[in-house]
This record gives sequence, C-alpha cells and structure tokens, in this order.
Amino acid sequence: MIRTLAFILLTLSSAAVPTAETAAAQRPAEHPFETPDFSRNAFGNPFPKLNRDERREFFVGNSFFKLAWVQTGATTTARDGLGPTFNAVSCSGCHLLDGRGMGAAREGHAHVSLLFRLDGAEEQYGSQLNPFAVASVSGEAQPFIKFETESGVFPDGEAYELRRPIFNLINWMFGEPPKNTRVSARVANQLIGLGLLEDIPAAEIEAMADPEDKDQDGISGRPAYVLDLRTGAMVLGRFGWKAEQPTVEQQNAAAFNGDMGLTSALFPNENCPSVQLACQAAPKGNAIEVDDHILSRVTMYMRSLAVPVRRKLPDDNGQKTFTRIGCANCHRPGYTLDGVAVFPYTDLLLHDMGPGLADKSVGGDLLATEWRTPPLWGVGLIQTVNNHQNLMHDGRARGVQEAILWHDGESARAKNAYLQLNKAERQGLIDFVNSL
Amino acid sequence: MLKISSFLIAAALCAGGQVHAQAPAKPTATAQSVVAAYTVKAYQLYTDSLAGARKVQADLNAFVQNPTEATLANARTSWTEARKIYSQTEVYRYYGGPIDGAINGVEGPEPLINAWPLDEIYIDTIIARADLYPSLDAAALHELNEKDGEKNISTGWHAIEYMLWGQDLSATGPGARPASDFAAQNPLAARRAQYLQTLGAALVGDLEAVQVQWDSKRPGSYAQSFVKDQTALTKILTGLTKMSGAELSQERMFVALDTRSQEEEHSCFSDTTHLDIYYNYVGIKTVLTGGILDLIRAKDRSVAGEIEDNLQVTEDAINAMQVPFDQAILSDKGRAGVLAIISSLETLTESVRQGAVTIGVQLP
Ligand code: HEC
Ligand code: HEC
Repeated sequence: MIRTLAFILLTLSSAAVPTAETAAAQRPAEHPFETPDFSRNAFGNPFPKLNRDERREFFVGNSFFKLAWVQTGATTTARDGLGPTFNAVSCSGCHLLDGRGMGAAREGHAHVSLLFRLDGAEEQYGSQLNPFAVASVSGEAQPFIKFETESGVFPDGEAYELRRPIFNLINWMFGEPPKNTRVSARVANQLIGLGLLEDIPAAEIEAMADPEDKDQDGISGRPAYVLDLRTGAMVLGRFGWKAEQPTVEQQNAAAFNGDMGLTSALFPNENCPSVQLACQAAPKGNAIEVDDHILSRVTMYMRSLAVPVRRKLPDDNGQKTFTRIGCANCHRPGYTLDGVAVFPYTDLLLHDMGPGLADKSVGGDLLATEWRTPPLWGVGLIQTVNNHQNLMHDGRARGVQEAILWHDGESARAKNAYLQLNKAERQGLIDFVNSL
Repeated sequence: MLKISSFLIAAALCAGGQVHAQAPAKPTATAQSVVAAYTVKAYQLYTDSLAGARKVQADLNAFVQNPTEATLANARTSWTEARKIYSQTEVYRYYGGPIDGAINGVEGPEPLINAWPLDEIYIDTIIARADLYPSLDAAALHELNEKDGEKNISTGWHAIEYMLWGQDLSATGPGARPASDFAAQNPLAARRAQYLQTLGAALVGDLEAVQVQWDSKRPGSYAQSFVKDQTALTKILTGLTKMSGAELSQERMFVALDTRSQEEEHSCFSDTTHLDIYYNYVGIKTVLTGGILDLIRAKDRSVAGEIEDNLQVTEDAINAMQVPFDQAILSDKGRAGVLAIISSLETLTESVRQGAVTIGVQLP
C-alpha cells in the first residue's frame, strides 16, 4: 500500500563527485532536502530539515508568493503596490504550484507565464515587456505566438515533429522598438532545490568550465558573471535560463520588480521609462513596496522547497545511456553539500545551444545562442503538477524527447547519438529523465 | 475583549466528541472501518454545510428584497452559523478529494467557495462598472475568476462576507456596512443585490457538487471509490496534517502574526476569525477521534496518549485566545496567546505524523 522508496543518500567523502551510479540504496528516516510527495503538490513542500522557526518563515514566504498583490488604494497595505505595469499579479500566477509555466503552449496570445526580455529598447520599454497595467495605465505591447513545424525521421523509421514558436509582439504603445532590439522569451521554471543550487561552491562550477574546449569533447561551457547588488561584486550567475542572477534573493527581488512592478531595497525604482507618462503619474505604494522583512521570508521560501525523491525504475539502462551519450557532460548528476549528496543534473554553465534555440532581434536576426544547463530534477513531475510537460526555455518542447531533439551547438553530439539509439534505448533514456 | 463563550465550546464539543476518550482501543477498529466512518462523517458535515448555505441564500434573498438592519442582521447570523459547519469540513482538503481535486476533469470548487484573502477593490469595480461587467450571473462570475491564467476570485464565503459587513475599519468591531447600501435610493443597490443573490446561489451550487460526491449510496460517487482506496488513510492524514500544520497554524495564523496585518486574518470583514480557528480545530479533532486515534493506540499507546494531550493543549489555547483576532495580533498578551495556539498545533501535527508512522502511513 505504501511505496517504499529506496534512495540516494551518500556518505561519500566530499572529494568524490557523487554520480547517480554510485548512489546507495539507503534512504534515511528523513532526507534533509527531499520529499516523497508525488502529488500535484510535489514541488510545494519545505525541506524536511527546517526547524520550527524556519518552517514558519517558509509559510509566510509561501503566502506572499501565492496570493495576489493589488494596486495601491485597497485597504490591504501588506500586499499593495502592484504595477503600474506588470506581467502578473502573483508569483504563483506564473509558477503555478511552484511549478513550470505553460510557456509557448498554443498559438495566439502568449500565456502569462512566458515573459519577454528586451535588450536595446530601454528608453521606451525597460528591459522586460509588461503586457498589463493598472487601471489608469496601458500595457506596453501584446505578445502573440505562431508555430512552424519541422519534421524528421529516426534512422529506425519513426517520425517526429518539432514546433518552432515565432513570437510576434504587436500594439507597441510607445512606438516600435529599434530593429536590433533582442527579444528573449523565457518561461517560468519549477522552483525546487534552489537553496541547494545556491550553496554549490562557485569554484566547483568554475572548475568544470572549458571555454576553449581544450578536452575537445565539443563542449565548452562558460560561467556567467553577474553583478551581486548586495556586495557590488561580479560573481557567478546561477538562476534563470541564462544564469543572469547570482542569488535567490536577487532573483526574487528582480521578479517582484520586473514581473509585478513592486519595489524593494535591491530594486528601488518603479519600471516606468521616461516616455511612459501615465505610468510615471500613476499612484505608487510606499517607496519600498516589498520591505526587507517580506523579501527575506519569500527568499527563505524559495531557498527551501524540497526536491521530490527520485522515482524507482526497473533497471538502470536509461541512466547508463544518459552518461554514455554525453548528457551528463552538461547535466552533471551530483554534488555533495555538507556531506549530503544532491542530484540536480546541471553544471550551471552557459552553453552554445545552436541557432535553433537562439534569441532573435525584433528585425529577425539571430542573437545570443547561450543557455544555462537547467537542472533536470523534477522534470518528470511537471506533468503531474502543471498538467503539461512543455520544456526548454520557452516551453516549445512537448516532453523530454522533443527537448532532446532541440539540442544543438555544443550538445549536437549528444543529440546525434540519441538519434542513433534504438526505440527501446530512447524510451529508457526518456524514462530515466522522467524519474529524476 | 470577548472570550468564546463556554456555551459555544460545549456545543462544539458535541460535534467533536470527547477529547479524552479514555476507553481502551476498540478491538473492532480497522483501517477499513475507520475509512468508512470518515466517509460517513464527511457526508454528514457537507450535508449540514449545504443546509447552512441554503439558509444563507434564503436570508440573502430576503435581505435584498427588504433591505433593513434587521434582515441584514439575520443574513449575517446565518452566514456566521453556516461558517461554523463549513470550517469543520476543511480537514477534507489537500488530497485531491471532491473539494479540491479534479472529478471527471472538473476542478474541485474550493477556490470558488473559500478564496481568501479577497481583493475587495476588485469586487467594488465589478459592481460599479456595468459597462465592463454587464452580466453578474453565475456563469459570468465564474468566468471572471479565471482571467489570463490569473485567479482573481470574486465568489464564495468571503465575497458574501464583504457584501454583508464591508471593510473593517474599526479597532473594536467588525465592518459596518449599512443596510442602506442595498436600498433603492442607492445608485449601486440593484447591482449589489444582483451580485449578492448570485453569490448565494453559486455557493449552494458549488457545495452541492461536493456533497453529492461524499454520498456513498450514489453510484459512481467519490465516496464509493474512497472506501476501497488503498491509500485512503494516507489521504486522510495528509489532509489533516496539512490543515493543522500548514493551513491553520501557518497561513491563517502565523502569517498574520508575523506581518501584524489585519488583512491577513481569515474572516477580516466580520471579525469572526476566532470561530474559523476554533471550528477548523474541531474538524481536525473529529477526524482524529473518529477512529484514527484507535488505530494508533492499538500500535502505540504512548503516541496516542500524546496526541490526546496535544489536542487538549490546543483546545485550551484556543479557548484562551483574545478576540477579535485582528486585535490579538497587535498586543503583547494577544500575540503570546496566538503563538501558543500555533505552537500547540505544530506539536499536535508532529505527534500525528509520528502516529502515522506507527500505522504504516508515510506522509509527504
Ligand atoms: C510573469 C511570470 C512570472 C512571475 C509573475 C514570476 N516569475 Fe519567477 N520566473 C519567471 C521566468 C520566465 C523565469 C526565468 C527567468 C529568466 O530566465 O531570466 C523565472 C525564474 C524564477 C526563478 C529562478 C529559477 C531558476 O531555476 O533559476 C526564481 C527563484 C523565481 N522566478 C522566483 C519568482 C518569485 C519569488 C516571484 C514573485 C515575486 C516570481 N518568480 C514571479 C516568470 C515569472
Ligand atoms: C552542451 C550541454 C548539454 C548537453 C550535452 C545536453 N544538454 Fe540538455 N540542456 C542543455 C541546455 C543549455 C538546455 C536548455 C536549453 C534551452 O532551454 O534552450 C538543456 C535542456 C534540456 C532539457 C529540458 C529541461 C527543461 O527544464 O526544460 C532536457 C530534458 C535535457 N536538456 C535533457 C538532455 C539529455 C537527455 C541529454 C543527452 C541526450 C542532454 N540534455 C544533453 C545543455 C545540454
């Protein structure tokens, strides 16, 4: 009646890099970071190791993550200050159940969970498209999606089809942006285990970088260096599809500001470019709408979402294939943090993923082909939690196989090796990824 | 500073059974019998809750037809009474049952029934802007609840509460909306009346959809599959520990305590949050004393004893709470009392999780 879950806690010396292969089949009474919840709420549990005070803070953060913020003027003062322009009224509007957004799921108006970063139109629109606004103000532009389909055939005759999203931003309220403005579509990630990713020593990530591809495995990998607003130093970027944020706190504060129009100590300015007069004139909340207290609670929450225990598979064939064809070269399985092994399956480095996945300019030129290797933990539960499995940075891939087939650039070798697998091997690999 | 009257506690005790059931473990308690009893109780509580909602609906209709302070007071009373029963059913959440799971592809109505906190500015806008929101019928309101993947809920208990009480701007009492808000000379009266009537009807309809699923005599109902569900005990205890350890102790109490903000309390317009807390607790106790404790006692008497003690400590702490809740979270003494309830609920939850282990249930 109750499934017992054998699993992964290693007592490895911290020098050894834990791999899934060496994982012992011993599950301690309670793993400090993992949860056996495979329900719709699989991504919403606190680390079991939290003490009472931490758990309480977690739930305060949860509340401010889940519930809607309102525009200035309501009696609710703890949650007001939304906008003037915004993408959504709550974090969970995009990260539903702490999970993955729909992304480019269908043609037509883009789903709210898909946001568009803009580079080159700061004077008109800031660095992110805000399609919505409070009553007296108008949204900046409206994003629409169309698909082009591409088809191919595996050597064994099985056909596949990929859909490439074409983004069309229309109704620019403050004039067309310059043609060379880069548009980068990104979907909301599942938010499990982020505190663990934050705790991996930077040196361990940097040691994996091989920007010149000296080992000639076709994979270079480059650390992103970004500004830490708290310290003023350039440090390793870890979060977001391009590793543009160094810490969970800064990522959260950036989301409050960019996605919801809420100011905090880290981002004290409303996102109202000078040409947006109604935005400038709109009523604002307090100078700091998300105070340090609330920000620290939300950060506690975001750092402490437990990772679902890996589901058991009948054999380890898929896992072996994963290593053999080179997936693990970027999706590095494990790390040891304070003597506890964790398995995010990422190197947190940026990789050139080829032109098919690249951002484009408003004028249609290809730009920016690099993406951070995303962690693969939880990927198999997105279906349960969010009722879809739209993967990759904009949600274009319908499931694991399509995600693999989009791999190119530095990952072309691994993708080509996948194409050569027989049907059973392909399925084994997909099942393995879905068990993570 | 009212205290919950002892009469009220006595009445609730009847609903919840005796706390210190000293009787030895009934040898007849099996997982199966406990699940069956739970199902019967859920059906009974949802049936009572539906009856309460029907009474609310009737009194709302009577109020809008003849908006006087007396008919308003009537509607408020029936709302408060109905909430006492509904609050006891919240322990049936959090495992994808009829209230919050998908049945035949339709999501459970929990968010429509109990969405909170409420954006009352949004409701005022819906009422005031006939140009933007021409229709106020149930279909239109349900559609509004889902806009652009965002949920901005304008139905349910707390929407009705807002319409009956209005914003609570006073330190000593609840919101004080005058009946004249609904009187013919008020330009928004007709829209408010229509909205309120729709809310009453929607609440009844949504609760009925849940109630029928707990009817074990109804072919194909959730109850029929639940009694055969091998994971039913896990579900029961998942719902219970999420209610005690997360929803009630944390989201409804600690968040308000931590942020010292009145709008974080659960029933903020009517100042009846203390009743929500009490009857949520009664629901938790009802499930534990309805057989779960017997199962645990048969495996480990001392854990069962601990759970019983923790129930008593929690109940005492709730009885000692300062009322109303929105003032309790502001004074040192009141805060200490609220924190005592939170701690006791946490301890209770931990002991129930331990008890779950003794009966072979692994909780997330
Ligand atoms: C409009 C949709 C949207 C909203 C609202 C939103 N996010 Fe996100 N979130 C995203 C997207 C898209 C990304 C990926 C961003 C990128 O690649 O730059 C993301 C990334 C993140 C990440 C990094 C995840 C990772 O694996 O690197 C965190 C943490 C996060 N969001 C937290 C929040 C918090 C906290 C809030 C509320 C304050 C919030 N988000 C609101 C869309 C949203
Ligand atoms: C060169 C490094 C590299 C290699 C090798 C690689 N990946 Fe990836 N993988 C990435 C990057 C970077 C992304 C994100 C790209 C994007 O979103 O546009 C990604 C995305 C994914 C995703 C989607 C994850 C999500 O959250 O949406 C899956 C699944 C995946 N990879 C599996 C694999 C498998 C299986 C292999 C082996 C066949 C593999 N990858 C090989 C770098 C790599």
